[in-house]
Amino acid sequence: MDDRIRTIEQLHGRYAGVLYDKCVRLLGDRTEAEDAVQETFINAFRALADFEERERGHLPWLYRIATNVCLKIIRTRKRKGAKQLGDLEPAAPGSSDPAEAAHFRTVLDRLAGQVDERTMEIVVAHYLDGIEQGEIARHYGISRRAVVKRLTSLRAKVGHLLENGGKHA
Amino acid sequence: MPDPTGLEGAKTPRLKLAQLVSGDLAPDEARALEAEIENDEGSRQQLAEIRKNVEEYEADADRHMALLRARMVAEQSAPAAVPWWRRLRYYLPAMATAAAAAVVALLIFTRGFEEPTEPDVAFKGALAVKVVAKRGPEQFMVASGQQLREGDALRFVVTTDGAGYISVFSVDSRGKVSPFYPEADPRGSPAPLRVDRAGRHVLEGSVILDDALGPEHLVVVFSPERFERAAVHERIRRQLESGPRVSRLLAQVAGVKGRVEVITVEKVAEGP
Repeated sequence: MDDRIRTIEQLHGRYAGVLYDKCVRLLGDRTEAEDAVQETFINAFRALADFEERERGHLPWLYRIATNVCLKIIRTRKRKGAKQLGDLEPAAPGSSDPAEAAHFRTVLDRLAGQVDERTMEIVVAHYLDGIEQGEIARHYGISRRAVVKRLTSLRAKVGHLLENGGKHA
Repeated sequence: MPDPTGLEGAKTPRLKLAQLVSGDLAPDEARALEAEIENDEGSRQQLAEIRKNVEEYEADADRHMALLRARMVAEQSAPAAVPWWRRLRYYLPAMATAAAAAVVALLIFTRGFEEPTEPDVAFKGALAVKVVAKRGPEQFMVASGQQLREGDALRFVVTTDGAGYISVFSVDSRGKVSPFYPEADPRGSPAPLRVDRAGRHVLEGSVILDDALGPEHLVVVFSPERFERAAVHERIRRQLESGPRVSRLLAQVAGVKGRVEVITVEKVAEGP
């Protein structure tokens, strides 16, 4: 069997579950989250040659791929006029904070189409994954100051969007 | 600056917790994080939530892995897309030698050529099936061995690794075959359901279970190639009566170059 396939299978065996957790939290839909995990590994399979050893482990790399896959699903939903993200199921039955998860999806829903893709990725990395600003800056090849600037202007925008749209309208 | 977004507040980064669950942290780092989590209720709940989701996904890990493997193999064997201007370099020499090729072809045809040997049944396609049951306000996933009741509504979610044809039917305890998708009698309408892409297909509507009690097989057939439903149903029905329910074997018996998944449920009378 091809080495790439073997590598991806090993990564799937080790990380698919935690990626599923991330996708459920982002998408609020378990079947869509399963699809997103599959797409994440297919994208990883295509990009395996680009994975650099200087990355701090495979999981942060896979997390970023999963973010892109989920944001694409969210944009498609928005284009098709699908239901609001915040109206989907809580992150998980018995979630530690389903209201927080639903609120996060509402924010993403409001932001989709309003800010560029890179900013959306930074929002997810910072708020959902809890990645430090310095680490985000390193991943995206921008300065830490640029990350802070994006997050600051984004806070103002989100505050404005929520005030005008209601939290779960 | 105050945070009007309401997004701030996570104490332990989710990625860190995921790394802990995956065994990615060095022993010292893991111990320090565990101590931190121990003192924070929110982090403990988050960790429990991650573990629960991991468990949920891993309960179906073999199926997920099979689908992923099939997609990777398909991707690997697919020819890479070549831009049209680069394809010209293949066409031009071919055009230049067209006349000579015609002569060669004539020679070949007059001498005859060997038929390629028919390969053994080649199994293509990967299939993952989820069945969701609705009973009143309650919804639950259906697993093999599950007890269901008359009137339960079933919804089928079928994930395939490519375009192809799907047929969903049941075989009840009396050996009666009931087509679910497509609903029409396969003798009058032999075509299976066509899906034109890889991915998750939520089959429209739902199936309401009848009152035939006892074991019932819910069968999903997927093949990249079109097949005759009635014949396939009958072959699978016979195999289910006596033989093992191995997916590959069922596909072979049915004569489809794809996959067959069977979920066997137990239909019971409504409880008190």
